[in-house]
Amino acid sequence: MKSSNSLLRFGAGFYRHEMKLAALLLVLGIALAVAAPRFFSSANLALLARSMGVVLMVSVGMLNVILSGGIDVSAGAILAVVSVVLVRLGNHGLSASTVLPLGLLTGAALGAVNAALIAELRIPPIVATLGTAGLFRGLLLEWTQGEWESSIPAWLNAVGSPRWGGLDASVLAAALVMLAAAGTLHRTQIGRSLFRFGDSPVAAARTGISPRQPIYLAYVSLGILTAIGAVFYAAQLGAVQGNAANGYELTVIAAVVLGGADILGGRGSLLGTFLGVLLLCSLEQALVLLHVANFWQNIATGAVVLLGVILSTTERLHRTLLVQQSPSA
Amino acid sequence: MPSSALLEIKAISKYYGGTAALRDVSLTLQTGQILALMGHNGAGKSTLVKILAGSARQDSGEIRVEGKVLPGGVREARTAGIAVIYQDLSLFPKLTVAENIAGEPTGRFSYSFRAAKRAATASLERVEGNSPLLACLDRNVDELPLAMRQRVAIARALSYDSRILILDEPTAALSFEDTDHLLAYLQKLASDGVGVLFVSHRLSDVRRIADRYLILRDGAVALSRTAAEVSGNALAGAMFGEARENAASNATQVAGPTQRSALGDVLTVRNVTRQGEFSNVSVTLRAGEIAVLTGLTGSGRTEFAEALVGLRRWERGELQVSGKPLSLSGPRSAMRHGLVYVPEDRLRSGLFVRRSAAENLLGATGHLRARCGFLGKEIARAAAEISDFGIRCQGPESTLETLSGGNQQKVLLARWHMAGAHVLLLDEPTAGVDISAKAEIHKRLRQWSAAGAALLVISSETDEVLDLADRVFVFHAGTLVLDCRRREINREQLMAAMLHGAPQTEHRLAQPGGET
Repeated sequence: MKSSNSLLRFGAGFYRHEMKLAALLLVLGIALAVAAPRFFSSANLALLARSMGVVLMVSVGMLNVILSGGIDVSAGAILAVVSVVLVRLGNHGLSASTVLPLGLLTGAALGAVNAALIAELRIPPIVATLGTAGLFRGLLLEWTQGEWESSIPAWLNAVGSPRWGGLDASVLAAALVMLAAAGTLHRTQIGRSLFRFGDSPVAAARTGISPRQPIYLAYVSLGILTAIGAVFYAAQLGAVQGNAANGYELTVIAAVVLGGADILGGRGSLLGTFLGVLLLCSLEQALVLLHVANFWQNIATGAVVLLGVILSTTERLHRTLLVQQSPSA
Repeated sequence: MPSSALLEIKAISKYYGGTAALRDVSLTLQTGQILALMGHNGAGKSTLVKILAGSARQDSGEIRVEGKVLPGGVREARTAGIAVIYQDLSLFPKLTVAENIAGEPTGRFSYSFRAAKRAATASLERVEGNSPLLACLDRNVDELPLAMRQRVAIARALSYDSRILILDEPTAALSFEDTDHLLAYLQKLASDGVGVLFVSHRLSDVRRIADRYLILRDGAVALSRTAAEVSGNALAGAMFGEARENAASNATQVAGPTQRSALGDVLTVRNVTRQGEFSNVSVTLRAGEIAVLTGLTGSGRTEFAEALVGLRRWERGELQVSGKPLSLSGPRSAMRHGLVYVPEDRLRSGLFVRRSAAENLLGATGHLRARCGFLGKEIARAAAEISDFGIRCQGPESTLETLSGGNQQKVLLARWHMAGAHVLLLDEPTAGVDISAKAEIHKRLRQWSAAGAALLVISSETDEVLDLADRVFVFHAGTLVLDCRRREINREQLMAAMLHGAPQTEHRLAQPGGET
């Protein structure tokens, strides 16, 4: 009896939005099975998985930021900076064991810059990260002088090459990131403080949560996860330059919001984020398979994001109505 | 040396800018004692609560818990055993009930949903036995009605070992049954040795459980007595300040509103009702008359005023402006009939604080009167209005942030004066302004009224009611319990109506002595 009860709640409560996303995916899947059966070939599915890895890692970081009530539009710039750092240092002959930690450190440091602007100087996140996005990207272009790093070190190439039936290490890494994030968000106090802080900073302060710690946690974790993503991003592309990953943050934010995260903070889930990434990446892949023109891809992606957000909004409107109608006495 | 009290506050003071929020306040709370902290809006209650909770720091004085000095900081207060239930509840609406109750940061690294749920269940069972919340531990708090949210907040405060429980207006949103339940529970807690500090307006609730009273007025202790030593009237007197009775009645005579002839009914409402907020209210506002609407916080005053300008819809009843029946769709259509509501929270819902004084003055009508969208002449008029209203600022271009509270309020009034409003509903127009600004605002209101406007002022301050009113309306629990001329009522009758809903008797209260 208890299990049926909790199952019901699973459907009606906690994962309402995720269920809707899953339904949306199902519809897309059926449509694809008819229009492009090739989509479900094992080769294509492996390709899809590979394309999802990096997006998913950065999205998990972005979920942390959005949960805390913030936003980071410098994620694309951070991805580019770390990619170039990895490749350049690697090409200079530094070993993987030196380059990889340096890359992670770079990501963490750039995230910390964002966090400091937001937590210490109280600059609104959108403004702070817009500023740093320009700054990071500009410094990177100055450093590279706009030139391509057209080859990557052999060890990095090995990281990105497909094995295990077309899958590469990014898939494994993304899975590990998901696991680690699930542990942190749900099983640790600092993880929960992210939800609390994002939900109500005032109430959080009144329960003794530091007004800075969640901000640092969010932006630095995004920096680190983006740096991990950058390893695979560079490895898969095989060449990087200063304009890499332009606009990447928008895809990532779209995926997280599509996944049901509340852009005002405090609400969101890893499962939703995963489904959001899956939906966006499958859609993109499918449209390529169907030879749909590029601008149509934008239109379709935009429409799906809006649809997802409308789904979660109506849910919230409905919920507010429920509260208003129920007798408060 | 006497054994140390559970909580001892020694002469704490707190200043915000130049204003003293608390002046030399001292109190002691013993184990097992229920101390009622009372006083009307702005008396310093919430500042005291904030300081005890550790989210604000006193400027001088010290707080001791069982003899040990309490350091600042929220966690420190908690560790010392102080739990606070805030009036706004301070819950996390997007998180589950279980997490709200038992998910407090503990200083440990790990967190477990299951353990939180178990702790929440235990806490709920301890607090109220068979709680309806037990069935919705996994629901988000924003899906619950208000009374249930309150229970979540209470269960949260009691989920950890608190020896001092502070409740800020806990019964304001509760039904009678829930209130009974809460009060009984507080008594049980007290008998278990918890010290309870109960902040409330509701005298009827307070008198049922308090062992001791502390009343704050203008940031200072106005009364500190045990329950046995004090009567209901003495409490009310201390809360509202009886010392100024003479001064107030003199002022009324000087103002002499009685000879002024009312020019006719401007606004009439009949039997308006809005479920849960006010019911069957009928009032008439007349040109040339200042009516003051009073009542305790939560009695439905503000809701009623908002409904008059169409910000809330009523279910039954009708409105007439200058004899014509009207139905207003919102403030914009109310304005078209010269009917204006000036909210209490001027910073958030009244003014554009980052914009200039001139822009704020034109805020109401600039867009209606600008010539082809240009405001040239209007700005000159605004400047004239600024000097006319005695608004002290650097000039019409200075932003409102730089003005004092009193001058901000004057800007708000001047705006509607410029807009030609002739029916004004003013919600606490002098809240948070200093005494001289208050006198000036009163003077303006009288002039305005003498010029033929109909004014309805909402005020919780007895002095202001008696000072300013030609006519007095009193709300109690959503009904109009008193509608009379100023000279037909004295302070005691007014306070009795506010507190008990009836001007003469105190029959709602079973209390020893204190009858007039």
